[in-house]
Amino acid sequence: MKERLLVAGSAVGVGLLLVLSRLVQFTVVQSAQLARQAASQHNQRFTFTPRRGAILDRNGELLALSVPAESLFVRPRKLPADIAAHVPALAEAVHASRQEVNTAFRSPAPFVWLKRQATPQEAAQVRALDLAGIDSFETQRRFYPHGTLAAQLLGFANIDAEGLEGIERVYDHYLRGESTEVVQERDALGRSILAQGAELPPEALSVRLTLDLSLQYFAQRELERTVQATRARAGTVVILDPQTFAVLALAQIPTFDPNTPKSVPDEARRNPAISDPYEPGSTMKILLAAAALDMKVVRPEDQIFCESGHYQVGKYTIHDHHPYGWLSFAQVLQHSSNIGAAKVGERLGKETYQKYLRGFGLGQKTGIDLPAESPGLLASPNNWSRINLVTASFGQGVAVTPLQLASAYATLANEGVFMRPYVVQEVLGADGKVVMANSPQRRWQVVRSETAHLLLQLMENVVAKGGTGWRASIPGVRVAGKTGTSQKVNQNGGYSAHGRIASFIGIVPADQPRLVILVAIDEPKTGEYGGEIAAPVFQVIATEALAQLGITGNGERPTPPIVAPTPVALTPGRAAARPTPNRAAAAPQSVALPVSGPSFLGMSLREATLTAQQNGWRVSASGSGYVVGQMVQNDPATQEPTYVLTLAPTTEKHP
Amino acid sequence: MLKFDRRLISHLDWLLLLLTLMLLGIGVMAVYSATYQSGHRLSPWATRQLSWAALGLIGMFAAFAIDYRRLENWAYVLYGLSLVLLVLVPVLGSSGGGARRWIGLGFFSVQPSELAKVTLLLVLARDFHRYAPPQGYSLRELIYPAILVAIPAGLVLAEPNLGTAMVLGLLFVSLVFAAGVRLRSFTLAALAGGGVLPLLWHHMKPYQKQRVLSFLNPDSDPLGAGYHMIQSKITVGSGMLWGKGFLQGTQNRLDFLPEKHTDFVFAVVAEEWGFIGTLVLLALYCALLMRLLVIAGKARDRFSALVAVGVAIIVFWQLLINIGMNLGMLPVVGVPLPLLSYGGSSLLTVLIALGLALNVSTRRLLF
Repeated sequence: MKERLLVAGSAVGVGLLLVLSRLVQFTVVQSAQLARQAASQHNQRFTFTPRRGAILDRNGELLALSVPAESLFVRPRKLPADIAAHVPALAEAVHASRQEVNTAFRSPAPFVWLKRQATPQEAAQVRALDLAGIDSFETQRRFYPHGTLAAQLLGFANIDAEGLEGIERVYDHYLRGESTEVVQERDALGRSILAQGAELPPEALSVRLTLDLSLQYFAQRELERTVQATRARAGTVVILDPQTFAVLALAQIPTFDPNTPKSVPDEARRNPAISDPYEPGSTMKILLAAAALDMKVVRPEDQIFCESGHYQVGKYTIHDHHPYGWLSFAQVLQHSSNIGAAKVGERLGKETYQKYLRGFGLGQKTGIDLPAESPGLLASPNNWSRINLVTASFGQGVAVTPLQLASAYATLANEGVFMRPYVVQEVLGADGKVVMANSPQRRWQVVRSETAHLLLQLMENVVAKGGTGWRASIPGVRVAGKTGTSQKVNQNGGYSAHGRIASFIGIVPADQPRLVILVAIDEPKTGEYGGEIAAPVFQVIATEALAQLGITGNGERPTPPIVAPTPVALTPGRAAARPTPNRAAAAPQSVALPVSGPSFLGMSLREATLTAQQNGWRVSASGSGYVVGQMVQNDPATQEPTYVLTLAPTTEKHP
Repeated sequence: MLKFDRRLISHLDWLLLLLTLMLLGIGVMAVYSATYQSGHRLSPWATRQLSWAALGLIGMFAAFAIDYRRLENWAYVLYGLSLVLLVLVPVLGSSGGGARRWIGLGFFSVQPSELAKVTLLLVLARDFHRYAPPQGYSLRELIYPAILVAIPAGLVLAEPNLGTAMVLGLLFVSLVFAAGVRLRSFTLAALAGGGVLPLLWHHMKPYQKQRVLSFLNPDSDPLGAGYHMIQSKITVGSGMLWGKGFLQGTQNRLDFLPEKHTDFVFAVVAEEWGFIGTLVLLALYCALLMRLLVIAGKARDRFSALVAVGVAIIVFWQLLINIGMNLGMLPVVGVPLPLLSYGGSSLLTVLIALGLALNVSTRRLLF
C-alpha cells in the first residue's frame, strides 16, 4: 500500500504541475494579450465635447454660435415590419423626401444617417413616433446668424465642430474647448456602467473680435452694391482703428455663407484682404512721400518738373495720365503724377526707400491673427535697378495686401508708429471672464510724428477740390486720402490692358484720426480710376461709420446724441434695438451667452412659436429669418415672463 | 450512544482541519466576490454559501464524531439510502439547467448525486477491506464492486449529470488501484474502458457533444459553446501576476465570465488574486491532498486507509477536472471545485468526506 500511496502522491504532483504550467502560460506568458482582450471587452470610450464657443463682435453681438442638435440614425435591421406605414410621417418630421427616408431604410448597412444635426424639434417629432431602429445622439450645429457677413474672416467649422478657416481655425483651440475622453465600463450585455468620478469637460471659450458688426454690415452692403453697380470682379473694404490697429471691418465680395460652406468652391472662401497681394499703384506715392519728407530730400513746396507727361528712364518711358509741367511736390501728390513721384524716388535712393517701405510693414506679414497671410512682394534693394526704383515710386513692381496697405496708412494716422493689426480682442470664459486678451502692440516708429502730420495735410489736398479724390470728401469732416489705380499683372508677367484695381484709402477725421478705410474694387467695368470708383464708396462708408461711432467733424464725441444722417436698418429688429449712436460708450462689459433656460437660437419664427406654444411660453419677435438673440421681459400688464426674440435673415438652407 | 471521548480533541488532526477551514474561507470570499453587487453588503448567494458552510461543518463534525468502525457497519444502509434518494430524483426532483438533479427538503434542496460519492466510498472501502487478496484483485473479483458503482453512476448519468458520474467512475478506478489490482486486470480494464468511450459518445446528449466539440475548437463558436472557455481564459490571463484585487475583477463583475460562482469560481480567484493567488490556492490544495495521503499511510487498518485515500481521490479529481476546465484543458463538464464553488450539496459532501478523513486520522491513536 505504501508504494501505491507514493504513486498516488506523484500523480497528484504531476496533475498540479500540469495545471500550474497552464496557469503560467495564461497569467505570465500570454497575460498582456489576454488583459488587452479583457479591456477591449469591457471598456467603452466616449469623448465628451463641450459646445463650441461663440464668436462675438466688439459689442457682444453673436457672429457665430453653436446650438444643440441631434443626429438621427437608422439601424435598418432593427426596424419594425410595418415601417412602411410610418415613412410619410417620418419624412415630414425630418423635412426629407419619402424617397430619401426609404433609401435609408433599405440600406444593407447596419447604420445609416437619417439626418445629421437635426433640430431638437425634428428629433422630438421623430421620437414621438416611437419607432424601434431609429435613434439619435446629441450633437451641436454651428450657426452663423448673419450669414455672409465677414464670412472670410470668421471662417467656418465643419460638421464635427472643428474650425477649418478664419477665426474658427486660428482660435479653434479656444472655441473647441477641451474634449474629455471618458472610459466607460460596459457589461456583458452591453449595458454601460457610468464610470464614477468622470468629470465633464469645462465649457468652451468664446472669442470676442475687434470687429464692429454694424460697421461690417454697412461696409459689406456698400461694397456689394458697388461691385454690382460697376460689374466688378471683386472688392475689398478694410477698416482699421489707427490708434490700436484693431480691425473694425473686413468686407469682401464675392463672399459665401459659412452656414453652407460647401456650396461654394474652396477658392471662394479665400480671404484676399490678407492673402492676395496686388500692385498698389498710386496709393504707394504716400509712402514714398513719407520717406522723402522724413528724410528731408524734398519739401512739399519744392517744384518738380513733370516732363510734360513723358519721362525717359533708360529704354522705358514713364507716362502721366495728364501731362504736367512744373508742380510742387504737394501738387504731385494731389494730381498723382507718376513722373513727379519717380523723380522724388530717384532722389531718395533705393536703399532708403526700401528701408521705409519695410518700416511700413511691406514685404512681411503683419502678424494679424488670421490664417494664410501673404507677406506681399518687395524684392531686396540689390535686385532693384533704376527702373525698379522708379516704378516702385508710383506703386508698380511691388505687391501688397490690402491689410498691409491699410496698416501702412494707419501708421501715418498714428503719429508714425507702426503696430500689429489684430482682429481678436479677447477670449472669454463661459462666465464672461477674460481668459486671454490681445492688447494693441506697438512695433516701431517709422516716420517722425511731424512727418506723419504733414502727410495727413497733403492727403487732405488730394480729397480737396481739384484733387483726384475729391469724391471722398465729407461735408463738415476733414478727410485725408489717396486714390490709386493699379494695372493688374497678367499671366505673362506684363501689365493687363484693361484689368484695373481702383482703390482709395482714407483717414477720418484727418485732424484726429479714428478710422482708416481702404476700398479696392477689382476690375470695375464702368470706369477704372480710384477717384471715380472707390472714393465714393469710401465717402458713404466713412459717413455712416462716423455717425455710428458718434464722431463729429472735429473728431470728438457729441454730448447730445446726433441723429444718423442715413439711418440704415441693419435688420428690422436691430434698428429698433439700437436707438443711440453712442455705441462705443454703450458697449456691454459682459457678454450674455445663452447658458440656461430655453434657447430659441437658430430656430425659425415658426419653430420658435410652436415650441413656445407647446411649453406655454409667451414670445414676441421682431425681424425675420432665424432667432439670433433672446431675452426675458415681464409683461407690464400681466407680469408674465415673455421671451423677446430677435430674428435676422440668413441664406442658410434650413428646412 | 455517542459518548464523546475527550481524547478526540487532544488527538485531533488540526492540520487537516485548518487546511479545510482556510479553503472554505477562500471559497466564501470568492463566491462573495463572484456575486457581489455594489450597494448590497452580502449577496444572497454568499449568505446561502455561508449557511451551507455552517451546515457542512455540522456534517463534518458528525462524520468525525461517529466511530468509523460503526460507519463501516452502516455502510450498506447509507449506500442504500442514497440509492433511494437517487431513484426519487426523477419522481420528486426539481430541475435546473436542463437536468433534474435536486430533491427539495423544505427550505433547501440537495443533490443526492453528491452524497452518493461518500456512501459509495464507504461501501467500496468496506468491501476492499473485507476481501483483500494479497496478489491484488482479478477482473472477476472486481465485478461486484463495479456493480456497486454502476448503479448510482447510471442513475446520475440519467439525470443527466455527466460530471458527477465521471467522478464516481474515477473514484472507483482510482480506489481499485489504491487497493491493489493485478496489472493484467488493470490493463484489460483500461482497454475495455477505451472501448466504451465511442459508445458513451453515442449516448451523450447533444449539449454534451457540443461541449466536447467546442473544447476541441473553442473559436469555432466564440459566442456559443466556446464562449465559456474563451471567457475563462481571458479572465484568468487578465489577472496577470498579482491580480486585479478583491472585488475588482472586471470580467467577473461585468458578467463576461459565465457560471462564475459555481463552475468558474477558480477563474474569479485567478482574476482578482493573479498568478500568486492561485499559486497559494494550489499549494493549499496540495497540502490537503498530501495530508490525506499521509493519513492513509499511517492508518491503523485497511478500511480507514482506503477511506482517506478515497477522500483524496474525490478532492483530487474534482480539483483537476474543474481547474482543467477553467484553464481550457478539459471540456466544460459541471464538476464543482471542492470547498470553493457555490453549491450546498457539493460543499456538504466534501465536508462530510473530510470529516471521515478527520475521523480515521484522529481515531488511529485511540484504540
